[in-house]
Amino acid sequence: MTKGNAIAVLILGILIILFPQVTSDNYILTIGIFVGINALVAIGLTILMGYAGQISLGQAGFYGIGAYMSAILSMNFGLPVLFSIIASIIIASLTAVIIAIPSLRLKGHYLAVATLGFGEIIHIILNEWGPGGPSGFGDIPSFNILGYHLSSTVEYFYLIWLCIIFVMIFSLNLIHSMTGKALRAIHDSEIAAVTLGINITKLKIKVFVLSAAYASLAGALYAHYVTFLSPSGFSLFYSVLVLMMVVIGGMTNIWGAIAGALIITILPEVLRGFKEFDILVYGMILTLSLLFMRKGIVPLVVETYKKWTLR
Amino acid sequence: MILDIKNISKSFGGIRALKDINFSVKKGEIHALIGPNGAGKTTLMNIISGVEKMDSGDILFKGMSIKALPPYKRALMGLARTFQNLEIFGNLTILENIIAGMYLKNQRGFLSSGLMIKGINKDIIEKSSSIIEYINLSHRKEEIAKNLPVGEQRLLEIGRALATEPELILLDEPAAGLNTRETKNLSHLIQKIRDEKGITILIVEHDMELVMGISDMITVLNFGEVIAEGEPLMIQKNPQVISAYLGED
Repeated sequence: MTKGNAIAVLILGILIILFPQVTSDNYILTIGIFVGINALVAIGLTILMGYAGQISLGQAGFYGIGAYMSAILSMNFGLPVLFSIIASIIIASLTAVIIAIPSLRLKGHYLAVATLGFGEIIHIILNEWGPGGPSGFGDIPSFNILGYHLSSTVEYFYLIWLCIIFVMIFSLNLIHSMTGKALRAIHDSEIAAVTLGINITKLKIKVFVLSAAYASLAGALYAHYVTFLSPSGFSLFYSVLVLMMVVIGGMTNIWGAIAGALIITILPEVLRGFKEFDILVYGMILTLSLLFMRKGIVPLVVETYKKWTLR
Repeated sequence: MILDIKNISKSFGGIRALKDINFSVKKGEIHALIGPNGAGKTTLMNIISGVEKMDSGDILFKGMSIKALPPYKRALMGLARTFQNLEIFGNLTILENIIAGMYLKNQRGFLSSGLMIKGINKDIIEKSSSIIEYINLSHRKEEIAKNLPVGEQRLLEIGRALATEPELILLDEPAAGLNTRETKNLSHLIQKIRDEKGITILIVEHDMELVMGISDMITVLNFGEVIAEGEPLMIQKNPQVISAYLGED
């Protein structure tokens, strides 16, 4: 991790601690929790897309596996929530390996369609075989550790953003390591990377698994927070939403995932005032930001800042 | 012998690009592979580095058959290459391109990369910087690679290959698109790599002045076949080579 990033993580940590002190409004804290859950999924996709150059439209699938597996394991098999979360991450990761081996041979649009297909398969499975079918199921145990039950919104807020701090530290370390350089090398030229001794197949699988692990962690946290699940939240629409977060935030910078998650999650809430026109304004904002901020918000801010300091 | 090419054949559809090619590269030499366009030179380079498969034959690198190995394993054994149509890592800086080349000798697992705060250590940065100095790109170190002119991108590819600490480098038309001065610098660099680092070089090149000036041995290909082999002076006088290049009277 670079010095700048270490400072940024520290600032994020302070903001997280201070935020519930500034506002005790449960509505705002709840939005903060959803920003965090979405950010977890988006961070994984940013590493996969922005760094390794592999697209995925199936993140909702891993998100769904995480949520359903953790819910079922803790509810029907009586596993402590912490273990059910870990187990669900392992299951999602193994699924990712199985999916990655054939589909990462594909590139670009073909890979997008293959992962999209995977996401839809999971969605259909949840619909047909998931507890409660399309209408879903409730009474999922809330998060607890060593007998202590998290009950308030503030506690969940801290839990989720603590996970993000850990995930960010791991991801930033990874990106600034030799492995991170190798990932970016694969992005720019696979043929050159492989002749430099980089085992591109293995690395691509690993980064795909990492993105799945993050998504399933997010899914599991979601399940134990809302304590009710139905398949509708795990459709292609969610995968596209995460893709939007990554693109709007800026996929060449991992902080873009958090910025993107913040914007995409908050936007519908902010636009409530437009009543029935909200979806129209939503669409326009997204279109305009893609037209005028191709690289995404965070890379744009970093570039502007660099220009200013060089003056 | 560091590299032995044994009876290599390759067809694309009905076209036989390589027919029963045999030659050997001696350790520590600059060995040139020349021939008119379409003679099969780049195909042969691709087959040796493993990015293309051959139909039949064998490749011995340091006496071991490498024909079944994927390209990255050949790189691990000490085989590096550059590309005719530049394959630099365009969005990385010059320094990062060289660091990516050093991955081979400094690999770390995924987990330990994520758990280790320190990242890329000073030693790697210093080694990379000295390679950048070696290829005379120090003034460009922090620039994004795709913004470099072609001549410097070619140098960068050579530097990146050097970063893997290879025993044999395949150079695929390193002088293409270079002006006279750049070509001269390139020929000095290639000789320096052989003399100072003791690295063997197999070079495919059209610039005859460069080839004749630096090669210890030359193999001539025409229509997928070896038509001549020898030292530069012998090749220049070879009637078969002259007719391949100038056409028959």
